[in-house]
Amino acid sequence: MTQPALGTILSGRWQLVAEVQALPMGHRYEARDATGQAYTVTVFLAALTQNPAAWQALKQDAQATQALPEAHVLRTLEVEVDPQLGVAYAVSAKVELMSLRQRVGAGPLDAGQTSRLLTALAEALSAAHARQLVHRSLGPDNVFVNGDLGVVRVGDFGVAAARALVEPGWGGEPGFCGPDAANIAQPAQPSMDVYAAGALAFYALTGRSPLLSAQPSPQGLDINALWAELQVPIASAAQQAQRLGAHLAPAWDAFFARALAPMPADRYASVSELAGAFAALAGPRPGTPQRALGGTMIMGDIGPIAPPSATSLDYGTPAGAMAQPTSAPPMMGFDAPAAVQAASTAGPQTSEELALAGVPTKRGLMLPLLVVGALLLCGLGGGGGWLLYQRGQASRLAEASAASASAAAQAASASAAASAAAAQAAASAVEAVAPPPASAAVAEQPPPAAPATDALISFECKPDCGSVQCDGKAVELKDSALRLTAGGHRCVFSKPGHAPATVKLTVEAGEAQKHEVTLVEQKKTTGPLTPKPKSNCGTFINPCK
Amino acid sequence: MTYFKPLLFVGLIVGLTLGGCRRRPAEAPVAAAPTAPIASSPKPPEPPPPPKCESLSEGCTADAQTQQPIAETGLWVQPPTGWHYATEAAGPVSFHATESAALAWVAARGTQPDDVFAALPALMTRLEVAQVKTDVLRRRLGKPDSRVEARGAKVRLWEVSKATQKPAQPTMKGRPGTLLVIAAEHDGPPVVGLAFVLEGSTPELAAEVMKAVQTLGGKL
Repeated sequence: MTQPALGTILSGRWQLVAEVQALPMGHRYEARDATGQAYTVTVFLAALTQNPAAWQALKQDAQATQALPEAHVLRTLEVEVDPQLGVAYAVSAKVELMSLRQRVGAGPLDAGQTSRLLTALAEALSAAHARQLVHRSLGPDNVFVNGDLGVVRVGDFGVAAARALVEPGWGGEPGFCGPDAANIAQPAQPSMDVYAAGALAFYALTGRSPLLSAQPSPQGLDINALWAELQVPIASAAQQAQRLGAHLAPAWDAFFARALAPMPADRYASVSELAGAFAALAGPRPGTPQRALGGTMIMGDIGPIAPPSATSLDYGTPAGAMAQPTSAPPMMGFDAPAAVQAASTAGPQTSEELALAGVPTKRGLMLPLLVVGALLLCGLGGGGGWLLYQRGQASRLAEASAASASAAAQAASASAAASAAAAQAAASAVEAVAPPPASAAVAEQPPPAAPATDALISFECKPDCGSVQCDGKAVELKDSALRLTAGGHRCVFSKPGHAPATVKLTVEAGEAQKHEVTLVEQKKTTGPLTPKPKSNCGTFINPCK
Repeated sequence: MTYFKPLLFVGLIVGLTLGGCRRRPAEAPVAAAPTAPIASSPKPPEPPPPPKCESLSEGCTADAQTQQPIAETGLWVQPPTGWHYATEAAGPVSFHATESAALAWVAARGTQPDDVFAALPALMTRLEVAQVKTDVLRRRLGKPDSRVEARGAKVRLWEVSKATQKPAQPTMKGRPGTLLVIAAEHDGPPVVGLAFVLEGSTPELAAEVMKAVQTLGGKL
């Protein structure tokens, strides 16, 4: 079968008016029916109709899309063969959306947009998986979106299963499928779509497939190299992105390590779980600047970035995890009352305001100033002594319980002060009752010392530590201890006559650690080294057990 | 007043008549019937012709019942389940879906080492196998590495790897791995097979090849 020309009318109903896209399994057209209504028609290669199993799979899956949520799925209206031309085609409604590839081509998405994308994918795929329908070929060409990712719809359900039966050698969308989906001998499993959703998230954030071998190349796709790469877990998505010439914060490493695990059992259990994990990492308010320890930006290009502020960071957060700025404590997230949220979001915008709202030492000043303002409005303004007295009151107020803070907020809001001042007061009140100890009576504490960037690591060595190398550099222990900067380290202890011992450390700033190291004595051989017994194992014959 | 009622009646009749003769307003165009969903599609699709599985491009995938004849020898073999297969004119061939393993068969002219050796070039070309030290292999063909009993044939096996022909390692499509030479004899003409598994593949692939070898026999 040759590609039908434009103007061809399929089954007397669908006139092909424009070619939209060439696909691995055929061509996609814009078509119109007798009423002029626009549709999308996919004309399939003849190989698909010549394979009964593939044709059956396509029909069944197209039928199954009727039960999927229309908000997130492009349903197939008809799958037929034109009786005169022998052309197999599928019809779906035409939507004024662009493909994810086109959208990302205009620039990578931010974390909030990617989270919306994943949430929509989760809804579509969860419904499909509940009906034993696996997409298996999810990629940027069959996910359709609008500009702000408010609308996301998945298309081409069933095509992958049919394609897998027709095209030997590869089962999924190269670059967006895991090794299990790539191997067409593997039956379709929802975990295949979990991998694809993870790969799409990586693509959305970086504009690239997570696999080096899947990048566009003049030589075309090297399937063998791609297959080999699929077998190896991606330890660090940040480093992988760097290799691909893109930027991704290391805070995403754990998420992508699980989402893109070669073994299906190691992945998220469902696309919904994956989307939830992503949303949790993306933070309660997409677009809010978030920072990891050390002030490293962790979200890529997201919104305005607050200046590095040591006191605004939660040093209790484990290294590598997301640090919540104290200027936006958990209470200020989705769980906070709407008014308080409005107050908080309408609050600091400039870097100076962010610092003011986030620095606990100045927080105590906010409430007294507001109280003074209210008193002035009531005609009770006084001199400097009165102001000092009010500051003293404010300090006590900051130490007060939730009830008193609430009362203060009510008093402030009841006052005839400007609405902006009332909002600030409400924000201060919330901060006053927030659980972190840093928020209470900070004004009376001495200013915090410079943040620790390292930690004391001590070792208990048996028989002794010998010479020590950390991260490839010789180090000297003082009292069997040394200071290491926050992050991952690898220390090797060696001593003549003993097998070297390696200790892998993850150091968190300010948290001392103690490790036991045992150097095992090597037995001296008296004679020449005995040769390693030759292996008689073969590949086909006498394979090793 | 006496003429009022008849006049009213006549006027009513005239009015109704004129009104009925007036041209009707144009009816709204009837839109074409909406597209019927699949469930109500009236005509079933024409059943596609079954594939002949004579070429790998047909995309035939072996299942547990698939059997392939080896030329006119009377021997049949079952390709590993899930592999792509084709019964080509020279003999059956099958590839793992990832092309990390392959198996091909041809008829041989006899069971002697020279006969087995003579059948190898066609198989090596078919599977794109290279880097085989043929002189070393030729010498080894006198004595098999192993013998197995298939369903209906006696099978001799030789494994060719980096260990058996140091330092060269056989390759398939440029990728290193291990080669297996298979010679099977039965009541009819003998056959020779060649299998290859890429280095780093799971042991299950080699096991699938060995299982397929043991299916050699008459048609089920």
